[in-house]
Formats: sequence, C-alpha cells, structure tokens
Amino acid sequence: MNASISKNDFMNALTKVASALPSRATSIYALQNILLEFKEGEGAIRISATDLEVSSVVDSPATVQEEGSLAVIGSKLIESIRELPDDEIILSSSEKNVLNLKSGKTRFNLRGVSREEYPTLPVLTGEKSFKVSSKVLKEAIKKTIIAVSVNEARTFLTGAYFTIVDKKIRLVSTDGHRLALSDITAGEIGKEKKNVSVIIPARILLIAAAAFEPDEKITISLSETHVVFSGETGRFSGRLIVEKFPDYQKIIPKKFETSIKINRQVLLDTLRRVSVYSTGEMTPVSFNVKSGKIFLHAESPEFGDAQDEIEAEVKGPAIEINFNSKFIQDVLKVLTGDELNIEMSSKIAPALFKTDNDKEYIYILMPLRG
Amino acid sequence: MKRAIAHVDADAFFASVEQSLHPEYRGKPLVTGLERNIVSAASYEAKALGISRGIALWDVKKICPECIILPSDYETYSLYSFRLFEILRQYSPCVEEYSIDEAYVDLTGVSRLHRKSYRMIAEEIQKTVNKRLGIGVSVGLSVTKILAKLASGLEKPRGITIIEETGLMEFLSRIQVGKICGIGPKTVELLEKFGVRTAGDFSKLSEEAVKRYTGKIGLELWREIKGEMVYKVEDLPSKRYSIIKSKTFTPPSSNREFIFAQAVRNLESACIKAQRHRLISKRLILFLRLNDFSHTSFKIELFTPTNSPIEFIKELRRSFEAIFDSTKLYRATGIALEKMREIKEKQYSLFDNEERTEELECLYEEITKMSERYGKHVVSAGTSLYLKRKTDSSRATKPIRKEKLLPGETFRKRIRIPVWEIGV
Repeated sequence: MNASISKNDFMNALTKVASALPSRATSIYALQNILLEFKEGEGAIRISATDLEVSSVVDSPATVQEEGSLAVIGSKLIESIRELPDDEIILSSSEKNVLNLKSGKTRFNLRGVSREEYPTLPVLTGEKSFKVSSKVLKEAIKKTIIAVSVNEARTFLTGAYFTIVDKKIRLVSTDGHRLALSDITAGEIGKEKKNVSVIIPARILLIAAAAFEPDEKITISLSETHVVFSGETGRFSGRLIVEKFPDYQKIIPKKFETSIKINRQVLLDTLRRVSVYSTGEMTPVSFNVKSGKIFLHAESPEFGDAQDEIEAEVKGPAIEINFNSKFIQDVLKVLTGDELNIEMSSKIAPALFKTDNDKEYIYILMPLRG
Repeated sequence: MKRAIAHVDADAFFASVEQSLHPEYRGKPLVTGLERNIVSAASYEAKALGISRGIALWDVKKICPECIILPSDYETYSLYSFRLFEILRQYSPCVEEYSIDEAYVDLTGVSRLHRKSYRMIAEEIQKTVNKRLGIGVSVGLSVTKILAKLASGLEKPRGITIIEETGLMEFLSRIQVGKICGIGPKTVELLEKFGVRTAGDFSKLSEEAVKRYTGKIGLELWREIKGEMVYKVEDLPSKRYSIIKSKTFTPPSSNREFIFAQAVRNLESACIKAQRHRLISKRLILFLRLNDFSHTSFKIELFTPTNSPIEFIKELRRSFEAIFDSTKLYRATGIALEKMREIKEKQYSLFDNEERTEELECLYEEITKMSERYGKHVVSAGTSLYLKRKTDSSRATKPIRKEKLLPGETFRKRIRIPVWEIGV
C-alpha cells in the first residue's frame, strides 16, 4: 500500500466525507473510522464514512503505487493531515493496520483496523433516477431547508418532500408554521413522471449541498428506502424517512386580500433593526400595513420598544398582523431578487412570500397571535 | 466557606403539621392519605414501626391497628409551607421554594449581617421553625445545592449537617452514590459496572467518563459534588410552567372506557388550571400506572399550542390505544401539560383550523365561568359518563378545613390561616 497525494486535495475530500461520521461518541466504535482504499487503476484514494444513516464516498486523485486498504479513526486522521507541514503527503503501510504518513521531516504512524472490521456500505441501485445540475440543486436545497422542522417528535417533517409535479422536481418542507416550496425546472426526469413521493432527511440534503462543486452533473437515484446523490465529487447516500408527508397543497392559499410590493433588502435591514427589541423565543414583530407604507413595531417587556417604517406598494385593505421576525429573516436571506411580493388575507391566515427572481419558489408563513 | 448554601427539609412534613395542630397526636404513630388509601406521609413514630410513604392503608392497619389515619389536608399544609418559606426569608432574601416542604437558602455573606457563624444560623432556623410552626426541619449546609441536599438527608430528623470543602473527598467516600439527588437506581446499576459505588468513586471519575456514563445532567452533578457551583439558588419562580394532574382509582381496573374517561378527566382538570393561569401548551404526556406500580407513558405533540381539552382528546385516544393493554390492571392515570407558555405568545399553525381553535377557546372560557358557579366539570367531555360514582366511603372523608368554612369563606377563596379544632 503506497500512494502520494496533495495535502489540499486530501483535506478537501476528507472534510466532505467527515460529515457522515457519527456525531455521538456512544455509537458503534468501528463507525468512528474512515475507510481508505488505494485504487491504482483509478489513480485515486477512495475515502468512505458512514453512520449507517448516511454514507459518503469521495475519490481523491492520487498517485497510487501499490493498492491496499485500511480504516483509521476519522477525527485523528483529519487532525494529522491538517498539521502536516508540506503539500505532498506520502501514505504507506509498513506494518499491518498501521498507516504511515510522511510529509517533509514529519512522520505519523496512525494505528487503524483492517478493512474487514469496517462495515460494508450498502451498494444502492436506484430504481428511479433524475439528473440535475449541482448549481440548481444546491440553490433549491438552500431555499427549502430553512423550513424543515428540527423537532424530532415529528420525524416526517425533519426532511424535505421530494416529488414530481408537472414534469418538474419539487422539494417541499414545513415545520407546521411555515412552508417552503422549490421547483427545479432544469432537470431531466426521464420516464419517472408520477408516483415519486419520498421524504429525504435534511442531513443528507445538507451534506450533498455542501459537498458538490457548482458545475457538476448530479444524478439523484431513489430506491424504496434510500436516496443517492452522485456526481464527480462523490456519492452521498442516505436512508429515506418512510412516512407520510402532509397534504401540503391543501394549505397553499389560492387567493389573498392584501398584496404588497417591497424592496427585499430594505425589509431585511429594517427587520434586523426592529428585532433588537423583539425578544423571547417567538421574536414577534407587528406589521401595520397601510396604503403606501408599512409600520413595524417590536416590543420587549424587559427592555423597551422599537418602531420603523418602510415605503411599499400596497393593494387591497389595510391590515395589522404579527410575525415571528426570525421566520421572515430566514426567507429574505435566501431569496435573491430585489422586488419582494407579500400576499396576506387576515391576521389569522397564512401569508405568502415570493420574488420575481425566484419564480420557482414560494414561502408560506403563519402569523403570530397579537 | 466560600459559599454557604443551606437545604432546609421539613421532617415528615404532612404528619408533623397534623401533630402540630393536634397536640393529642404527638408522640403517636400517624399517617395521612386516607382519601387515597395509601400513605402520603408518616410520622416518625409510624416510620419506626416500618410504615413508609406509598404503602397501602390496610397494611398500615395490620402493622399498627391503633395508628391514626387522616385525610390529607393540602390547604393547611400549603399554609404551613408558606410560613416556613417566610421564616427562611428572614435569614436571606435568596430562597428557592424547591417543593412544598423543602427550600434552598443562599446564606453566602449573611453571617456578617446576623453576626453569627453559618452553623449558628442553621441552628437558629431550626429553632425558630420549631417554635413558630411546631414542626421539625433538617438543615444541610455546604458549598453547592447538591451537597447541601445530600447533607440535609443524612441526619434526619432535626439534624444539622455541614459538608465543608476540606475533607470533602474523605466524606464522599463514605456516601453511597445513589444518595446523590438526581442519581437514580438505573444509573447506580450502570455505575456499579464500572466500579463506582460511593460518591467519592464518582467524583474521582474523569470528565469524559462521567459524560459517557451519565450524560450532561450527570456531568453537572459531578461538578456540584466536587464543590463547583453549577446550579444557582433560583429565588424567582421559573418561567417554564408545567401542569400535572393524576388520579388513583380503587379498585384497580382494566375497563378500557373507564380508564380512558379517567385520563380525559385529568386532562380537563389540567386544562381548567391552564385556562385560569392563561397558559397554553402543545406537549402532553399521558401516563398509565399499573397495579404493580410500573407505568407506561406516551408523549403527544400538537402543531399548535392550546388549552382546550377537545383539541387534545383525539390525539389522546390514539396514544391511549397504543399503550393500553386490556389484560392488565391499572390503578391510576395522569396527564402532564409541558412547556407551557403564555396565551399571547402563540405561533399559528398551517395544519390546524385556527379559527376553530379560537372559537373553542371562547367556548371553554364560558365553561370555566359556569364551573366557577356550578362546580368543576359541570360541562365535560361525553366520555366522563363512563366515570363511576364514588362508592368507597373512606375516600369521601375530607379534612376539617374542607368540611367547615369560616365566615366569609367560599370554596375557592379562603382566609389564609390554619384551623385549629379543639375537642371539648
């Protein structure tokens, strides 16, 4: 077993794989390892990690002189590589299950375990597959992930619903208070027009979104129980949440009373200012929507209050409504266009947020009680 | 001492209150809990005979036929409790009311004010409580809350125990690890596997080991017993509320509808309390206690917080069916509403009919008004028809304080003094 690799490439690949390492120290000890496979034919070191929920496999280009494999503790390997002085690292194994790392005058001998002691990653054959560009996928994940629930009590809301609607891939997420919906038009859906409805855990979406470079062609494969995202960077797979997603279409309102056009950045800045006085878990901010203007007000029982106003184009009746400031800031941060449209009906009904720039995206938010 | 935290714990509180009010009971075995048919508190004279909390009254009668058995008079106990805390506040403004009969007092620095050592202050607290309320308390004094609590339990009744930092290790090595508040039987079993038997062994573990075996809470306890303060004496009531309602029924039953009706009744009682305090919750825990004292529970989480029982009942039925086993005998049901928040802080949910929820809240406000006039549960869920009428006569026994109202008192509004009835 012998190979040389650039420190930068290796580090980059290891970080992408490391997100699949188990986070808790109490899980199966063998899973704390990262599996290294030296592949002479492919001129690469294959790096794998898994916590049995998600797994990541990344090929890092390397000059492989002799094939071989072993597994070493992931955190220690990353710590070692980070500290090595030179850009070129020589990896070898002179003794069974020991990884020798050489860079400049530094020598590390990292004890590991044989490949047989490392769990075999399931080889997944996706029954349905879709192709998208990584740029579009990353963007859609970024905009959808904000509404995923963090409450473990409802597992089916801790992921994004993946479905096909009008020949488009659709991602939907909701935590019960808000809902984010992204359509991906620039994708190849092949023959899979119907009957695709799965819930992909937020974690695997985040891992994939972070790992892929912006210009890759990604294949998303689905089986009954698993999803695999594969591209040039590597393969990221995870177990699906096999539960029923709520009927989201029922809760998307069809018509609204008041419609507002407002500058997104101005609203975000104003909201940030006012929110200094919007304390507590709910961070409430009240919106007083009048013709041509919106007055914002936040009040904290401990500290005092804040007021501000913004010019806006308002159609329809005036309305007073309260929102969780954080929930609005979340969406304003991921949108890109300047002209924001907000539609609302009453202080107890959902409001809708969208911009002309992000045509394939809507965000629905329920108000707070005043 | 760099800090002085006192834990003041009343000795056999309910029983002591009864003995303080009724001099004729002093020195005699006495238990309370007639209304539930199990001992809720036993006097030290009864404890000496082997009677302890939680045992059935018929067993008490077997052990000691002349034992005095009284219904619990929670109203009077809470008056005593209030007065106990008032006495403690004379020694330091920082008093945490930990339960009805125990409190933490941060005495740090007050020795200068009272011109007495901490031990003398502890002795004085004990004396004053005894003189003014006629009940005994045990005081534990140390540098952290956990150590103070450990200390107060060591020499009961009427003990004063001080755990100082010097000699702390030697002291801990003589204490069973299970004596530490927060370390339960399961943890004790686990720790034993790793050779940890005494509090001293526990304190000698490495930080990583403690974290691995006992988690975050264990780590906090570990710091506390090493004399490092983690838990402050919280003199303000906590902002996080929860409401628990539980009721035992006799005889035990395996009747599905009856037991469900019991759970619903507890839910209604919890909701009435929530409405009175203008609190809402979305997390509910249902627990069923079996005849063998084991229990099962189920957590329910609604999308939107509420205090209307109707919103919970559907989910309650589902979780009840999931844990109920008709081949077993049950003796109690309970409901806990957790993570309660004030009614004005409410995030509406996408998946609920919020207009209906608000209408229901109005409806329940009216029902609450009716209950105040005509009695609790005058309007209740249909399932309550399955509740049987009370038949057991001893369960209907009420404490004097509930039987006889003083002039000007109503059922809910009371003059805050205990009633002392002298037999003529």
